Amino acid sequence: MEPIVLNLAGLAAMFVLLAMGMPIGFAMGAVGAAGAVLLIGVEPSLSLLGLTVYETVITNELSVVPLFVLMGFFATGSGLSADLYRSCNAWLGHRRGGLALATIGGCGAFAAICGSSLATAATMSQVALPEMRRYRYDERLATGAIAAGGTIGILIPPSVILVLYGILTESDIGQLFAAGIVPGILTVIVFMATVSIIAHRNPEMGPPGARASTRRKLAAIKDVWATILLFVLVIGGIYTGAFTPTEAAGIGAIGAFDLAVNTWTRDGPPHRRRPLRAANFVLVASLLVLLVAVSVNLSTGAEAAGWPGWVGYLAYTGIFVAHVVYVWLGLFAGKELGSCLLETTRTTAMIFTILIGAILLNKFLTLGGFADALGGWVDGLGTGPFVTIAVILLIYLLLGCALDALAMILLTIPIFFPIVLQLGFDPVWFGVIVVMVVELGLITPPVGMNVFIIKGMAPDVPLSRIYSGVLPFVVAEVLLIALLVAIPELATWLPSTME
Amino acid sequence: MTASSPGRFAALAGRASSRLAWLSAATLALMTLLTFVDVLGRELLSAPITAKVEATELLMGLTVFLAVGLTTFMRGHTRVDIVISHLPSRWRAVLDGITYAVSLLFVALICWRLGKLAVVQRDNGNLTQIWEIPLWPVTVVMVLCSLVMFAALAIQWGRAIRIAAGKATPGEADPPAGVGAS
Repeated sequence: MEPIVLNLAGLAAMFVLLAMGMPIGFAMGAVGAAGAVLLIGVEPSLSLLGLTVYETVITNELSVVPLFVLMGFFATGSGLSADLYRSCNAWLGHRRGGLALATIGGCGAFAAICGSSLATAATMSQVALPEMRRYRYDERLATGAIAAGGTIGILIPPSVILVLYGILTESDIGQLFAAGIVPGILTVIVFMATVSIIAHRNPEMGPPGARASTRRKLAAIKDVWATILLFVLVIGGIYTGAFTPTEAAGIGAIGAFDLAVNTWTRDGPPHRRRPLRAANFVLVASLLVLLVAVSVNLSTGAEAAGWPGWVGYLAYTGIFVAHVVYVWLGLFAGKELGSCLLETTRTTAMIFTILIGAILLNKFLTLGGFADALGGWVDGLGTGPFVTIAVILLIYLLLGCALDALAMILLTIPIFFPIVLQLGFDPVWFGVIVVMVVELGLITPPVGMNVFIIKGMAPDVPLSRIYSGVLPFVVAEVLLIALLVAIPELATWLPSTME
Repeated sequence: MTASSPGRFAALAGRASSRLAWLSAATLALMTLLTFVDVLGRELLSAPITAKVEATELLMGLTVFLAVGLTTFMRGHTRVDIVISHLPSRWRAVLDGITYAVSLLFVALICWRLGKLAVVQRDNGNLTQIWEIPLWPVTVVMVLCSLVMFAALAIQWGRAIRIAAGKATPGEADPPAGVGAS
């Protein structure tokens, strides 16, 4: 049998196994391994299987995945979403549709420390939905805003989906993160505009909330500065080249742990708050010492990190001591800490099972010359690159009706990415576009995962009402994707400024 | 084997997968702290941890594989259920029986090839570059964890077969007591 025919038969078999309910990682891996046996023989393909499994997990670079997942679980477990929502609410809540605006803003801010859309939607619905119900918001606007706002989680860095895209396509994860920032902010703005339009056309759908005093507004900023600092540290560190994505993920996970310990201890016995305050003071003082040292160096034209040795020792000791206290306090919240760690390991195992399957499938397709054949076929169609991209995006939209975000990315990238490269598109731009289309899949029927989560939180709201509420946001997102296709620089400009 | 043996085996395998997942949580915590301390040391004291990369590589292998058993037990692997969710439970069990059988074969191959790799690593005396830690023990742990995943799949396959044959109901196919976070 011709190798390309084997490739096609393998893909068909895989889709049959998927439809039969086989776990995606196992289906891709089994087809990849069986296909390789037929193409290169039993012993070489079985060696390939063992080595692929081993080399995929015994890796330093891919530790970025569990570390960012852990950061997300700590952020979720710490209840930071409530603080973020309250802050946005203090500034926006008094406007028409203000609580929905605050929800979108809160989702965008939470996305900056949590790379999961499902977690963003789930945590935000816990705090925003009761508030919107209290103010008698139309249930379509209330549920639609949370479901749509939740999707921002996988676009604004750090995004686990963008990390996986980077791993599969060997693209620079730092550049992908930078590329997600402007489209992420645009998504927040467009969703807020959508809420405003809805609330102005039908004021009864989103009545204004209470106006917060200036004092409360300023106090609200105090609640979120640590979250903003963590985002700046993680993404700024990657952008400036100070950290690799893996290192940034480690710092992000520890930073989110610090914030979580603050929340857990704040809700715990009073006698533990004093050591917490002391640790916070020491940490902030250490960071300030570093900030002053960097500022002095930059103002004198010296290298940013070229401070005297005693500054480094002082800051190191301060940060280290503060974290010994945080870890000690974290152990008192053993249940919450254990839950975050355990959920992360389970998610990591699930992701790596799919990743191993995707890599095996990718190798099978490469051995069969699938990418070249597909590229030649697309060339032969003579439809032009933009029509091809449009068709690919349409396929993603359709797949989004049946698959979840992670599965869709890992399943399709080995197939579509070679075409995209052959057509001369920027891989970083394509990554952002794909993530945005995947976002749509989270809120479109019949498998809109975010919609299901909202339904779980508000069982009395019919699914059809939630989908109806989500519809204006779907239209807004489609327009935004079209804008990004028309003006790729919206995604590629920021990465191009990186050193 | 007595009538209750499959249940006891499931409970035992479930407990084993839970314990392994807790070990995975510990290796994850260690990996996170290692990364953090390494960056701090490098940026503030110009003293990174020498063997951080190889330690992270080994910890990654352990973190992923130690948790894979529990993930499988808890049916935590992503699947497309848009088609099968519309089928009667008995038909679903028939399809589960087929797909679990394919999965079992795939995981058995992984166990075998990782085992073979461990033997090669031991015979060749493969070590990490800096600390010169032997690689084969980590690979052996990966094999053992793959066997736990195999056991989890085998138990689920057995349940699917029993449901397909009308000897059990879908409710009995839930993970056994003792499997989970606690």
